[in-house]
Amino acid sequence: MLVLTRKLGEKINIGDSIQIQVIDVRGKQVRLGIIAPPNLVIHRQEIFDRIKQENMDAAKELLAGDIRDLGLLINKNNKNDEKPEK
Amino acid sequence: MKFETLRYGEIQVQPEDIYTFPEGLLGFPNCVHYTFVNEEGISPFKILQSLDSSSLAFAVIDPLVVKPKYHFQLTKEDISIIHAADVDTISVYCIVNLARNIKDATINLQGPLVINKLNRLGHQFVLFDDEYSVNEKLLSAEMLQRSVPEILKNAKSTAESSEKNKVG
Repeated sequence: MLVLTRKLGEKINIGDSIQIQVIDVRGKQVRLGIIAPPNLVIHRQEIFDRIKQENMDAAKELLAGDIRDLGLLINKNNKNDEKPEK
Repeated sequence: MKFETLRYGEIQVQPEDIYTFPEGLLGFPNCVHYTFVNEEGISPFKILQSLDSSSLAFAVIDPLVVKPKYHFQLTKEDISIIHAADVDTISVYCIVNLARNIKDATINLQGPLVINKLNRLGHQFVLFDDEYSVNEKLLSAEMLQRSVPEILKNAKSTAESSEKNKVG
């Protein structure tokens, strides 16, 4: 991994089309500004990891959970919503 | 075409019912082919069954059924991933985590599945901001208040339903 030190406001260029700027540093938080082509997807790593884990958990729980009762409950509830209460 | 599945045994799937997620779903990069199974009695859910791994399947739902205000933005570049030119041709599903107790079921609103209905290409998007989470409660507090005691009365589970007394 390439490790660099940058001061507030300084930038890094990656190739011709990606620019990263240090916008703000407060304690342990660093705000970064990123300019990149729109077809490049930028993720926060922890969200990516969370979704991965959630997918795996959801696949596992499908085998154990009771999908019918849950479906019934939602359908029943949505039907109730259609009827205005008097 | 015939596929072996854990949930349904051998199933017959027409080519026009096969959906391709070229990058797989997150955590399952090698599972790219899926089909939707309208399993009886599970509406409004559908089962997204992997055709590459017999044991892999997800419960999915149109998120607007349970979260009518759910929304997120897709740019032209985003939908070009599934070769869509227009949002009119896409449909959105979210994966549901059923949990052991239906009260704890969650829906992943931060990683929606977006499908181009015209070519059946799909992609799991990762929403950048934290407006939605990967495990929002599927049932709102009011829904639980209104419906759970009744449903739990019918449910066969015993230990887990003990809380119904509290709700009622």
